[in-house]
Amino acid sequence: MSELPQVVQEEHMDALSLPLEDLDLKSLSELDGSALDLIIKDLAEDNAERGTSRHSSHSSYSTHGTAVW
Amino acid sequence: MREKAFLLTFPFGIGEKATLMNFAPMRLFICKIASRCNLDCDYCYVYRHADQSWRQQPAFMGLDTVAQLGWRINEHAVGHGLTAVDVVLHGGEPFLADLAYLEQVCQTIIRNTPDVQVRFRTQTNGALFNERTLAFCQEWQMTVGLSLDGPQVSNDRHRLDHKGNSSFAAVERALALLASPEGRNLWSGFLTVIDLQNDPLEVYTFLKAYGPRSIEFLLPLGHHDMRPPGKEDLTLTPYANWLLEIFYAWYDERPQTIMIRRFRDVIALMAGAESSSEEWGLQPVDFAVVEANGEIQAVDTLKVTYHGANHLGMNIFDNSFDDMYTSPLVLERQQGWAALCAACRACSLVRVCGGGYFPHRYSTLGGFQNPSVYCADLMKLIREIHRTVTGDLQRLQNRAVLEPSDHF
Repeated sequence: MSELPQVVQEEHMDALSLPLEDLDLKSLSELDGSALDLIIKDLAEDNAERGTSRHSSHSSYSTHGTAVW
Repeated sequence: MREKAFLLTFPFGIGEKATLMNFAPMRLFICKIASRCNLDCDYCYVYRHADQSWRQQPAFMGLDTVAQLGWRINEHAVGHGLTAVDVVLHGGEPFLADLAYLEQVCQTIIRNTPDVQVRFRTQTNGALFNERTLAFCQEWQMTVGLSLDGPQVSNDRHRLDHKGNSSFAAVERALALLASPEGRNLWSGFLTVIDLQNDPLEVYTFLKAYGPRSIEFLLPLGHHDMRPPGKEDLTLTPYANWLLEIFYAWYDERPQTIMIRRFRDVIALMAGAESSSEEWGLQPVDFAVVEANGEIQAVDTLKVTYHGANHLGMNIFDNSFDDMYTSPLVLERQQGWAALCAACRACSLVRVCGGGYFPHRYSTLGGFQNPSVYCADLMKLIREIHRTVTGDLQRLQNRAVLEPSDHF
């Protein structure tokens, strides 16, 4: 496994963030119907669920790797 | 009711100072109500790998065990202030069980969980799924995940019955039911194991045609001592390449209604949100597995590593789910970044990949203190998704600067 740490070191990235919250309404509307839009809505739903404390996270999903929701 | 942070005094070793730690409560209970399966998939982590403990399990979970399970779930939920939990009827193949028995299972769990809302789920191979099964799922509002690897030629590579016959025709009948107007609201989507021999776009196009809510493409279970197909050289990235073909197609489609969970999780974690799956990110694992005899176990996919790997020496008759937090195997998966090997801790992608899926890290020599056997694939996938999405966002932001929004 000696090759792995070298790969890890070579692949460092300076930044790994997606500032989705910075999008303005016009930009958001351009995403309508896109895969990114689907994900943004899913994350918003997850946040809303968490806010109610009805179920604190992953309302739509099982975290178990072998079950899909 | 707000959830309580669970504080437990945990002695790290004799003579060491006890430390207070936060532990994530268990929200999901994988219940092995059937320990046998009607299929004999050659990659199955239950029957075809190192751990063979299924042989000592009863074929089905007894109702006394189910009652105790319900009681323990309720105890855990009350102790942690949870108002809802998910209970997955799992196997083996859960629908090997008679529907009358499954009715009793659900009734027994509900009867013994008076203080918490239980949401039922199931994962099935679909081969025994029929109109009666669908009616049962409707009655209990039980969501159904279906395992299928693609069109028949893809599916038949691995998912055969005990006589070596294809399961495809039977699963196709289940698929017709789940994709129908009656089944659609319960059908959560596909669980699809990647085989590099299959054309990724052919698999995706086939699955997409049924209009699933979601697809999860799973990396084949393997580790450093049992290399997955195509990973003899760990620096190669055949699985990233396979997945990226689908990613580009999926990302460009509009309207997009299918959630591909692997891509969703990478993007969610980059955006600072949480992963939906234990396979990504650094968040603590929040589920427990209960075997047919009542044993409490760690994640069942650990069975591919060594015999007994997922065994905690606990059962629901003698132990509460809180007792799991005394097991090093569980604690390791509660500690996120701190529990990873040095190479992963130093890597800037770690908050997305989370060090890779726990079983994928294993080697006899290093235990779970290794990067994932899929490390190079995960890196390529993450970097490429990041590049694609940031490029898209940058383009939108540049346009917003040039053409100021009239919404403000």
